[in-house]
Amino acid sequence: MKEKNVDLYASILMLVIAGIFWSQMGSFTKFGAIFPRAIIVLLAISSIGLFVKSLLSPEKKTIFEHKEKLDAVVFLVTIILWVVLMKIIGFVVISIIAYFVITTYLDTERKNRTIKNHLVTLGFICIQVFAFYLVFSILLHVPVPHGFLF
Amino acid sequence: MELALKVLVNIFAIKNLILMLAGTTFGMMMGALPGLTATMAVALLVPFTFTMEPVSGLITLGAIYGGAIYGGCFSAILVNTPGTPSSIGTTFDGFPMAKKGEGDRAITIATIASAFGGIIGVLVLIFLSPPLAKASLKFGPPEYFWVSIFGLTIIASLASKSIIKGIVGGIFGLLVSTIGIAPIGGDVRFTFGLSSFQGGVQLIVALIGFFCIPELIKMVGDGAQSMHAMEVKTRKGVFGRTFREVFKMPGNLIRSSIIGTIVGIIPGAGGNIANLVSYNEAKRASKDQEKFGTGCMEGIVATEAANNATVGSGMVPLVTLGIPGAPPAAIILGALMLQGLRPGPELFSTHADITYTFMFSMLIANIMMVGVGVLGGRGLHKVVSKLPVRFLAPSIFFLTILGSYAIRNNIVDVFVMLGCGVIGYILRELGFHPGPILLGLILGSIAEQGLVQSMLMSMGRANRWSIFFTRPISLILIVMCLVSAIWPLIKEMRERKIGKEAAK
Repeated sequence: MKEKNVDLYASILMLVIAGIFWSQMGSFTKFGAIFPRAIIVLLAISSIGLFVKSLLSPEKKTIFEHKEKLDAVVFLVTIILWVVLMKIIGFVVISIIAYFVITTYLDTERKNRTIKNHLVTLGFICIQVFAFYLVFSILLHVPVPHGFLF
Repeated sequence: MELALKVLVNIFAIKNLILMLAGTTFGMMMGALPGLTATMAVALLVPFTFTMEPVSGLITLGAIYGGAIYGGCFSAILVNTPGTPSSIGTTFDGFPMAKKGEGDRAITIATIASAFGGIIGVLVLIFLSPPLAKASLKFGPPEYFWVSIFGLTIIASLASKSIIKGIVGGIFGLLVSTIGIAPIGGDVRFTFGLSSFQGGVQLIVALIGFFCIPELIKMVGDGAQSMHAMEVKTRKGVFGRTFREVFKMPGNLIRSSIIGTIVGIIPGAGGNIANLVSYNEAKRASKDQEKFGTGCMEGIVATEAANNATVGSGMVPLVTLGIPGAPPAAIILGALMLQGLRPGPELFSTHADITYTFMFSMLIANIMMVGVGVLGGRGLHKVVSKLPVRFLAPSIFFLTILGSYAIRNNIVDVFVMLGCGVIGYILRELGFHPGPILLGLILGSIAEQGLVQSMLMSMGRANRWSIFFTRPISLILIVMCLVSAIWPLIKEMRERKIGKEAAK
């Protein structure tokens, strides 16, 4: 894969972030604004410095490059769905589903696995999830999110 | 006398001894898993300490921290993969020794050296903290402002290959710290219309996100079969023989522990730097430098004594000034604050019993580590190194959800954790190290409070900014900031010059 000028991307990203925060400055009081204003200005200046560096002596490297790229993408999408659906489906149920999906997908031997193998995996996951659910909800009194299923 | 008795009673309470043992064991297990750092071990277990008494909670976290730094040596020695960044140097000689079939000896060397270094670090914490706490009374808002700047200059130069990216990352962290209600003035800032952001970005949530999620994505992306186990051979009499061999090199042990202690005290520098500096010094001091890298015990002693020395010493700036010496210490700072304990002189007066119990418990935990490590280390390695990534990655993510959610029982924190994780992954790909960002986040509120309070203090002055440049301690701190900020630049220029000369 082609190497990218990561300094250039990094400087543009930080300048955009500085711009977004600057646009949110609004009507802060004098003492509430002094620190963030200084920090945004410093971020903009240092980002410009990084931008200049990207033109003079850029750091070039491949980005988002992994041996198993698709695995990383599937994992990332699954964990995002895990969090998004937690409140709707319920923490325990979505954790079991997402955990099982990741474990099964990342299993290089999944095509050779029998239903029994999958059930054993599912059992292991259920034990782990329920154990932590019980520890948190009963011992620590942390009410994990419940959804329409559990 | 009354305090000493109270501390003794607290430490030797059966419940606390069990927590020390459990914490050390859990920390070791986490540290032994490649990719799981001491930061993650402490962060994941913080929620469990919420309902404990402050003493028990802190004892557990201290034991986990020490155990995790030590536990990193297992995978470093046996699979050539440092379990934590603090064990990078251990791979240099530990793995070659294991390949010779002496893995058990290497583990024993690492265990004894880790315990020794850990004890030295804790002794420094116990005996240096009170005078530093007295000195911290002289610190006013301007000094705290400069202390935060000093902390930032160090991390910016140490934690990143690129100095400018370290600086940009640190400033980005400072900016994130301004989200929420302003510490002075009460302005609601940068919430982007979300009321959940009024409380700001929780430090522990950000730490879990920035460190854990990018590591998990990398772990999965690098391939599900990336971990391989190695057979562990056990022989009789190894412990006694190795114990004597290690103590035959007191110079190496003491030098490495001192290096670890000094590096640990500096905010931002931790075991990851100490172990390499110490390895380098051990090699330089050795008469037989060629042995290094081939499985010599001096190398293992140096790295392991140094990295565990940083555990105790890293707490010195934390308990006295509220400046965490390393990311795990930052989480312990969060736990202290959640328990209503504010770092500084108050810890040594109002809460002296809790503070000293915590410190002495780390001493006991280091001794326990020898037993747990030598007896259980080999078996533990067999289990953790065979755990496939397909189980490891979702298990860790499951724990990060619980860890983030339990802080405030707020699902928004889980979203913030995931958001920080995705941002952290993108920034990591763009060459940013999470260290400076998180130090910025940690130091942001201290810097802002110092800045604004100083300005309020100087309202009657002709020049309001003069308060930052006229107090003696402030001046010392300014010089330290300048030296710390300029030194990496000088070093880089020197290296470039040497490189150019070599090319000629």
